[in-house]
Amino acid sequence: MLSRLSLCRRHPLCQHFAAVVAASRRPVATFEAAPVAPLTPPRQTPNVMHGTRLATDPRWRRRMREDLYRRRMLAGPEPERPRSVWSNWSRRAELSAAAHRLGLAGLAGFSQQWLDRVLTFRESAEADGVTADSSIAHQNVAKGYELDDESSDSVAMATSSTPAESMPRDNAELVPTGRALIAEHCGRFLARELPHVPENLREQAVSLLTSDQSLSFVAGHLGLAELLSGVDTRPSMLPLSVEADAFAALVASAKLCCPNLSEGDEAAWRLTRDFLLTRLHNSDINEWWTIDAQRRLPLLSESLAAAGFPADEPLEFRLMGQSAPESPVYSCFQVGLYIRREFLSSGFGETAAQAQDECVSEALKTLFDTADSRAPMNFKLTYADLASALE
Amino acid sequence: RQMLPRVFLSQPLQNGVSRYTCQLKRITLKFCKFRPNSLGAREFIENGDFLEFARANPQVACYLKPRRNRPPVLQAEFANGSVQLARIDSFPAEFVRRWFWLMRGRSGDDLLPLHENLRSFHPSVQGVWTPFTFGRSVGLGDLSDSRHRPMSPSATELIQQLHRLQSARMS
Repeated sequence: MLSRLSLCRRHPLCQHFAAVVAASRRPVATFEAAPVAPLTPPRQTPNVMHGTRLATDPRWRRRMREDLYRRRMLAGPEPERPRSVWSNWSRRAELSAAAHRLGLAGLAGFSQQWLDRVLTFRESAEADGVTADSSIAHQNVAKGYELDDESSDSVAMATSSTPAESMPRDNAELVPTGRALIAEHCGRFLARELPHVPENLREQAVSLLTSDQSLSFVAGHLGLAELLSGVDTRPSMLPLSVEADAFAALVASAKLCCPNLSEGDEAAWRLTRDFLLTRLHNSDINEWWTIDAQRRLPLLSESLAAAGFPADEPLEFRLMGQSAPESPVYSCFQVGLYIRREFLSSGFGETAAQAQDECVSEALKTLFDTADSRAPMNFKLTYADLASALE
Repeated sequence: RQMLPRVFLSQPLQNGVSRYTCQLKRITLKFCKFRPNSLGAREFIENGDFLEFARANPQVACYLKPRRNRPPVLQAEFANGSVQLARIDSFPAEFVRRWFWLMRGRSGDDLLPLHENLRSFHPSVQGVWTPFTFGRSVGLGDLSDSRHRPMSPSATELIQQLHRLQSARMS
């Protein structure tokens, strides 16, 4: 027996009604030449909204949020812009704040104008592709960014004892002075703190400390990267060497701006000590240099000779103890290094060979005074202490 | 379900070891001049607390940014590059003041749970423990009741085995 519903559906009026509805759903012919792009993008975009359902949102709002998110991801990331293009930026205020943050505001002869010049790089054709015609300011204007207008500031910059004519236009001369000063400070500090470490290892540590990567890390954390002028300060366009030069110029400026020589030396030393040399704190000093594996034993012999043990005395490695020697996992060998029947160091390892290597490393650390148990470095040294150490 | 990652205690650029540097570089107070949810922010400015903060902290660049029809927000930028936003919607002026001074004391690191409340790169100054640290001549694997025994028996054990066999034969 056919149901009444199916009979109803086969009725001509119902079928006519169904035809009208179907016709209304058919797309109307358009006269556009190009095909219209679909509203929803294809499914290749990752479904990052999975598992982020807001229980309080109704279903339509959830789908709207997902769609908006998908569109935003398709639009691509925000263009990278320097910090100075936003409206909450005043170069004068930023330089003043930086001067106080770096502790240079109290120095005689220091002013915002001086700091401005210190962080200004000369726009030259050789400098990283920035030509005089395509200066960053002009590029910014071309893109629609506003220039930082200093003429509207009613508060004048702090006057300094250094007249404007004698101030350098940029930091080109300060950079090499600063780099040399930093290297000298680091070398002197390590010579004082690690007197028993050989010169070549200390030099390795100094070169790591004064590398572009290290100096630019410090400059970035001091907020100097945003204050540079004459270069593109966008993080992806700013090379490490430029940031490093900025910090070097700062150190040189701290020394040169003071009329009093000792005050300038002390100010420059404090910048290096407090921001650069403190990177040695909370790190294993032995990681700052590398000794080749085949160089270890000769170095040990040389160090022992320097420490007073004659060169013909043989080094004796003795097995001090072993536990579970056949076990591949729980084995522990302890090897001791003796010279002239005196105990020098011991090392342990899973195999006797490893224990012997460890023994040599420990002996070197003992001789260089770089073991874990050594006293921490003194980061309160003044420049006077540093200078007197060498005499 | 994701859990917050744990981080280790750290200070940017070893701040405080040799000298302390305020990590807050600039702070911006964005507020509306008309809407009631910015009332606290407006009072904070008008009472002179904003200027007091700016004068007491010359190392921080302080900005005011009036924005029509937007809720009030505090944007703090730190030396390590991070930006923190504090929504001060309908806060009283005293709370806005407290948020300012709180940002001044922050380092800019994310607020995440710590592994430990201390961190040291020298976990031991006495040396790492070995089975022989406290003058033991045998290791744990050499004791007779240990599960991690060496495969070959020691001379003492051989003699003990012989003795047992002998006494078993005798009896």
